[in-house]
Amino acid sequence: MTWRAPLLVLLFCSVSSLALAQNPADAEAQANQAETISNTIFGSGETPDYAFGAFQRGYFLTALELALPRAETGDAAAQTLIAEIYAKGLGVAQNDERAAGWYQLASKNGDMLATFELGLLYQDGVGVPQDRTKAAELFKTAADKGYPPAKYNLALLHVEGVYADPSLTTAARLMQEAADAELPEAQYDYGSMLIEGAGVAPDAAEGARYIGLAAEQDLIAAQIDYATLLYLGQGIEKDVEAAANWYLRAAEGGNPVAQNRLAKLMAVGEGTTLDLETAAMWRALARRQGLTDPALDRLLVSIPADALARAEERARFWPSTPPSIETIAEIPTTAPVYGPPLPAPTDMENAPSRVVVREAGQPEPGADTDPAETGTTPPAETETPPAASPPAQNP
Amino acid sequence: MAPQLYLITPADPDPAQFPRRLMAVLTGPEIAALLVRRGNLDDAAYAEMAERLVQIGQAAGAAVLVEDDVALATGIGADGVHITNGGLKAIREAVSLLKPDGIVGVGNVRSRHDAMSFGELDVDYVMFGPLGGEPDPQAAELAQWWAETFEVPAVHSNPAADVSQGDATGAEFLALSDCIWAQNDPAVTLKAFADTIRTGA
Repeated sequence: MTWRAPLLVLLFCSVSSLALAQNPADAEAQANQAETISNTIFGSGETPDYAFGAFQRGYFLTALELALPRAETGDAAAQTLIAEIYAKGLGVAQNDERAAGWYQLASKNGDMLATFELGLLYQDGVGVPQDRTKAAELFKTAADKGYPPAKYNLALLHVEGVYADPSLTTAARLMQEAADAELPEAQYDYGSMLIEGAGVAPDAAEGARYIGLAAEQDLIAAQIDYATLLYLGQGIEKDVEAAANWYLRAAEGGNPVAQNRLAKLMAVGEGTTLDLETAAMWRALARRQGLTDPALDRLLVSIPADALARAEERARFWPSTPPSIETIAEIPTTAPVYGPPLPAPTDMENAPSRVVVREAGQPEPGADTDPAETGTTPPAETETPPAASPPAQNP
Repeated sequence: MAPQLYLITPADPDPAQFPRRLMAVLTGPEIAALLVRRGNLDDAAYAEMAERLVQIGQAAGAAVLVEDDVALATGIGADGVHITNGGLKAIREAVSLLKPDGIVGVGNVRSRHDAMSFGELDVDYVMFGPLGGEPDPQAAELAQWWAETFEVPAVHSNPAADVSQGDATGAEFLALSDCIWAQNDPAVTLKAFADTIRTGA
């Protein structure tokens, strides 16, 4: 039990520092100390943004209170912060109009995040009248300042070609910039553009690489496409096992197409072990979302009735396991104890000493009436289980 | 879109002369709304002045608003109130008493936060800038921001408006006060304003 000692010391330290922090002067001293440390590490040029600090820790109302005076004087960061608080309804009632108002101000003061978010509001007509021309302008402004999501949206507008001039080459350039900033949607779309040669010279290998990057970032559509590319060996070396793995990841993400394809691979044991029951489970899950596939049904026609029943049962409880399946495989073992046996928690000697059976004429231990007598009553004398004895009563 | 005109009466009108003067002004360009300003009048004088101007204003086709006093507005048959004092509570009360038949506008907006708080209360407009006296340097910027973002109409009040400039804020209404009444012939000045904003300056 020697490891307990340092833990206790730590505990006491933290308790004492908490007590210190309650003293305002000490708290201030601590804050100053923290600032000094922060300045030595990060340099002292930046003044800390207390509003954002509060926001990050979830003290949204404090953040709002700290940001409001700054926002009124035209601080773009504070204005964006308030807009975020209202747009997401953090600690306040969600209010899209108010969010739009603050985004508008922050955007005018040059905050590119605010410009982009305002563009989204205009695009969908949330809190402001829908105006896709204006949204396109705002995306362009934010994209010119280098904000990757704005580049992605602007690229989509160039593809659509209604609110921005129709140009696949511009779209591809913007998409590449956003993809290189590791935006998964952009990586997937740019990969697809490369494969199809839309606005860029076709390059299947590079396209597959970009789609792979998006798949790594858990974009389900990219995972399915990447798995298909791996399975067919298009632009990348054929690897059926890896394909099955990517289908599995997407299937676990709940996508019916991936579940269907994974079931097919499992039904024939391609790239994965042959497992009709699990295949039937994935089929059931895909069907539940409305995807039925006669080809898969043919592959699973030979499944035994009991396996099918188990598969349906598993699908019903997916992603958990059905209660009929015992999930606890083994009881965790404890390390062997050397030396004298330690008292088990259920030992009578460890029972709480407060409930002490009092014999007739003996004063209650702990009562203030006779301190000398109290001291001589060891708590370990409790011999009777508490449940079998009447509770101690005050005299 | 050219803003509509919103006329604010002077702070200390001459009770004998002013109604006649106002009539002359109202024969000119179309005025959407007329606000009878309290200025330094006491309650009785203000009520009397307002009662007379309501008749004149409504006869000329303008909506006539009085300052703050909901009871006075309903008593003399004015079209609504313009709330400058009392904040959110007064605005809520006025909205509950007058809407949907009457007009409730708010002014005395000191910050963006104020503007948004007021604007949510089902008011008919939000006015940026003072009713008279020194113009507020921030008013134009606020009005422009409001007009671009929110659906509640903005009134940009500029007591020192310049005839040649018009209004570039995009606000739905341009409120004029001292710059009209300080002139020898207010009717001509108002006409000039109307021409400037109609030509889209």
